[in-house]
Amino acid sequence: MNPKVRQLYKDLLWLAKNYPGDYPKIRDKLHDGFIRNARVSSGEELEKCLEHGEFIAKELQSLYFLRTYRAVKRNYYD
Amino acid sequence: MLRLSCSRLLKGSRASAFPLRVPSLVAQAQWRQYSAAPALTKDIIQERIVELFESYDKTAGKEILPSSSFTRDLGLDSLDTVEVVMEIENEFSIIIPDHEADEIKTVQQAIDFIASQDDAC
Repeated sequence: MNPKVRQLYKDLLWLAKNYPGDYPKIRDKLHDGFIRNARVSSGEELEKCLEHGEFIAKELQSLYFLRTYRAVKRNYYD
Repeated sequence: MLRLSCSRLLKGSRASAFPLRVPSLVAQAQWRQYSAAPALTKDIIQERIVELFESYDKTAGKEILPSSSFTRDLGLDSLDTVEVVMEIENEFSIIIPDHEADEIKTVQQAIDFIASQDDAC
Protein backbone atom coordinates (compact mmCIF):
# COMPACT_ATOMS: atom_id res chain seq x y z
CA MET A 1 0.00 0.00 0.00
CA ASN A 2 1.18 3.50 -0.80
CA PRO A 3 2.51 5.14 2.41
CA LYS A 4 0.57 8.32 1.67
CA VAL A 5 -2.68 6.36 1.41
CA ARG A 6 -1.91 4.50 4.61
CA GLN A 7 -1.17 7.73 6.45
CA LEU A 8 -4.38 9.32 5.18
CA TYR A 9 -6.40 6.28 6.28
CA LYS A 10 -4.82 6.42 9.74
CA ASP A 11 -5.46 10.15 10.07
CA LEU A 12 -9.09 9.79 9.04
CA LEU A 13 -9.62 6.84 11.38
CA TRP A 14 -8.17 8.89 14.22
CA LEU A 15 -10.50 11.75 13.42
CA ALA A 16 -13.46 9.40 13.08
CA LYS A 17 -13.05 8.20 16.67
CA ASN A 18 -14.79 11.27 18.05
CA TYR A 19 -17.45 11.48 15.38
CA PRO A 20 -20.98 11.56 16.82
CA GLY A 21 -22.89 8.31 16.35
CA ASP A 22 -21.38 4.86 16.52
CA TYR A 23 -17.81 4.38 15.47
CA PRO A 24 -18.18 1.15 13.38
CA LYS A 25 -20.64 2.91 11.08
CA ILE A 26 -18.34 5.75 10.10
CA ARG A 27 -15.37 3.39 9.97
CA ASP A 28 -17.17 1.15 7.46
CA LYS A 29 -18.11 4.21 5.43
CA LEU A 30 -14.48 5.26 5.35
CA HIS A 31 -13.42 1.73 4.44
CA ASP A 32 -15.91 1.61 1.55
CA GLY A 33 -14.67 4.96 0.28
CA PHE A 34 -11.10 3.70 0.16
CA ILE A 35 -12.09 0.36 -1.41
CA ARG A 36 -14.03 2.17 -4.13
CA ASN A 37 -10.79 3.79 -5.28
CA ALA A 38 -8.61 0.71 -4.75
CA ARG A 39 -7.76 0.39 -8.45
CA VAL A 40 -6.15 3.86 -8.43
CA SER A 41 -2.46 3.17 -7.99
CA SER A 42 -0.49 6.18 -9.17
CA GLY A 43 -0.37 9.33 -11.20
CA GLU A 44 -2.66 12.29 -11.35
CA GLU A 45 -5.72 10.35 -10.26
CA LEU A 46 -4.03 9.27 -7.03
CA GLU A 47 -3.07 12.87 -6.26
CA LYS A 48 -6.68 13.88 -6.83
CA CYS A 49 -8.00 11.17 -4.50
CA LEU A 50 -5.46 12.08 -1.80
CA GLU A 51 -6.42 15.73 -2.08
CA HIS A 52 -10.07 14.78 -1.66
CA GLY A 53 -9.20 12.72 1.41
CA GLU A 54 -7.28 15.60 2.93
CA PHE A 55 -10.20 17.87 2.20
CA ILE A 56 -12.48 15.54 4.17
CA ALA A 57 -9.99 15.46 7.04
CA LYS A 58 -10.00 19.26 7.16
CA GLU A 59 -13.80 19.30 7.05
CA LEU A 60 -13.92 16.93 10.01
CA GLN A 61 -11.46 19.07 11.93
CA SER A 62 -13.50 22.21 11.31
CA LEU A 63 -16.67 20.40 12.35
CA TYR A 64 -15.05 19.43 15.64
CA PHE A 65 -13.88 23.01 16.08
CA LEU A 66 -17.41 24.26 15.44
CA ARG A 67 -18.83 21.81 17.95
CA THR A 68 -16.40 23.00 20.62
CA TYR A 69 -17.17 26.62 19.77
CA ARG A 70 -20.91 26.03 20.04
CA ALA A 71 -20.55 24.21 23.35
CA VAL A 72 -18.48 27.07 24.78
CA LYS A 73 -20.93 29.66 23.45
CA ARG A 74 -23.90 27.81 24.90
CA ASN A 75 -22.28 27.45 28.29
CA TYR A 76 -20.86 30.94 28.67
CA TYR A 77 -22.87 33.39 26.60
CA ASP A 78 -26.41 32.19 25.90
CA MET B 1 55.47 9.13 64.39
CA LEU B 2 54.56 5.50 64.72
CA ARG B 3 50.87 6.35 64.74
CA LEU B 4 51.25 8.44 61.59
CA SER B 5 53.07 5.73 59.68
CA CYS B 6 50.54 3.19 60.90
CA SER B 7 47.66 5.27 59.69
CA ARG B 8 49.43 5.80 56.37
CA LEU B 9 49.98 2.10 56.10
CA LEU B 10 46.36 1.46 56.91
CA LYS B 11 45.19 3.99 54.39
CA GLY B 12 47.39 2.45 51.76
CA SER B 13 46.26 -1.06 52.50
CA ARG B 14 42.65 0.02 52.65
CA ALA B 15 42.85 1.68 49.30
CA SER B 16 44.26 -1.44 47.73
CA ALA B 17 41.98 -3.90 49.52
CA PHE B 18 38.77 -1.95 48.88
CA PRO B 19 39.10 -0.10 45.59
CA LEU B 20 36.52 2.60 45.05
CA ARG B 21 33.49 0.92 43.58
CA VAL B 22 31.44 2.72 40.99
CA PRO B 23 28.15 0.96 40.38
CA SER B 24 28.14 0.01 36.72
CA LEU B 25 25.18 0.73 34.51
CA VAL B 26 24.84 -2.95 33.72
CA ALA B 27 24.25 -3.79 37.36
CA GLN B 28 21.69 -1.00 37.70
CA ALA B 29 19.74 -2.23 34.72
CA GLN B 30 19.29 -5.57 36.44
CA TRP B 31 17.43 -4.13 39.40
CA ARG B 32 13.70 -4.29 39.29
CA GLN B 33 11.54 -1.99 41.35
CA TYR B 34 8.68 -3.85 42.95
CA SER B 35 6.40 -0.90 42.38
CA ALA B 36 7.05 -1.06 38.63
CA ALA B 37 4.70 -2.76 36.19
CA PRO B 38 5.48 -6.44 35.59
CA ALA B 39 7.88 -7.18 32.76
CA LEU B 40 6.26 -7.74 29.39
CA THR B 41 6.61 -11.40 28.48
CA LYS B 42 5.49 -13.06 25.27
CA ASP B 43 2.60 -14.77 27.08
CA ILE B 44 1.28 -11.47 28.35
CA ILE B 45 1.65 -9.89 24.91
CA GLN B 46 -0.23 -12.78 23.33
CA GLU B 47 -3.00 -12.56 25.90
CA ARG B 48 -3.42 -8.85 25.30
CA ILE B 49 -3.38 -9.19 21.52
CA VAL B 50 -5.97 -11.97 21.61
CA GLU B 51 -8.13 -9.74 23.81
CA LEU B 52 -7.70 -6.90 21.31
CA PHE B 53 -8.84 -9.13 18.42
CA GLU B 54 -11.80 -10.39 20.41
CA SER B 55 -12.97 -6.85 21.05
CA TYR B 56 -12.54 -5.92 17.37
CA ASP B 57 -15.92 -6.52 15.74
CA LYS B 58 -14.65 -7.99 12.43
CA THR B 59 -12.73 -10.79 14.17
CA ALA B 60 -15.01 -11.18 17.19
CA GLY B 61 -16.23 -14.80 16.84
CA LYS B 62 -13.05 -16.22 15.31
CA GLU B 63 -10.39 -18.35 16.94
CA ILE B 64 -7.18 -16.36 17.38
CA LEU B 65 -4.01 -18.47 17.27
CA PRO B 66 -0.42 -17.20 17.11
CA SER B 67 -0.14 -18.74 13.66
CA SER B 68 -3.29 -17.11 12.27
CA SER B 69 -2.72 -14.86 9.33
CA PHE B 70 -4.57 -11.53 9.23
CA THR B 71 -5.75 -11.94 5.64
CA ARG B 72 -6.24 -15.71 5.27
CA ASP B 73 -7.52 -16.84 8.68
CA LEU B 74 -9.06 -13.70 10.11
CA GLY B 75 -10.48 -12.34 6.86
CA LEU B 76 -9.06 -8.84 7.16
CA ASP B 77 -8.10 -6.78 4.14
CA SER B 78 -5.15 -4.38 3.93
CA LEU B 79 -7.14 -1.44 5.32
CA ASP B 80 -8.34 -3.50 8.29
CA THR B 81 -4.75 -4.54 8.90
CA VAL B 82 -3.77 -0.87 9.07
CA GLU B 83 -6.51 -0.37 11.64
CA VAL B 84 -5.43 -3.39 13.70
CA VAL B 85 -1.80 -2.25 13.66
CA MET B 86 -2.97 1.17 14.83
CA GLU B 87 -4.86 -0.45 17.70
CA ILE B 88 -1.76 -2.46 18.61
CA GLU B 89 0.26 0.78 18.63
CA ASN B 90 -2.24 2.30 21.05
CA GLU B 91 -2.41 -0.79 23.24
CA PHE B 92 1.34 -1.08 23.77
CA SER B 93 2.17 2.66 23.42
CA ILE B 94 4.69 2.18 20.64
CA ILE B 95 5.02 3.54 17.13
CA ILE B 96 5.34 0.98 14.36
CA PRO B 97 6.99 2.47 11.25
CA ASP B 98 5.41 1.71 7.87
CA HIS B 99 8.09 -0.68 6.61
CA GLU B 100 7.80 -2.71 9.83
CA ALA B 101 4.02 -2.63 9.68
CA ASP B 102 4.14 -4.12 6.16
CA GLU B 103 6.06 -7.10 7.54
CA ILE B 104 3.46 -7.91 10.19
CA LYS B 105 1.11 -10.41 8.59
CA THR B 106 0.40 -12.90 11.37
CA VAL B 107 -0.36 -12.72 15.07
CA GLN B 108 3.01 -14.33 15.88
CA GLN B 109 4.90 -11.66 13.91
CA ALA B 110 3.07 -8.97 15.85
CA ILE B 111 4.00 -10.63 19.16
CA ASP B 112 7.65 -10.94 18.12
CA PHE B 113 7.80 -7.33 17.00
CA ILE B 114 6.35 -6.03 20.28
CA ALA B 115 8.69 -8.26 22.31
CA SER B 116 11.64 -6.74 20.43
CA GLN B 117 10.59 -3.20 21.41
CA ASP B 118 12.13 -1.99 24.68
CA ASP B 119 9.61 0.79 25.25
CA ALA B 120 6.49 -1.35 24.84
CA CYS B 121 4.36 -1.40 27.96
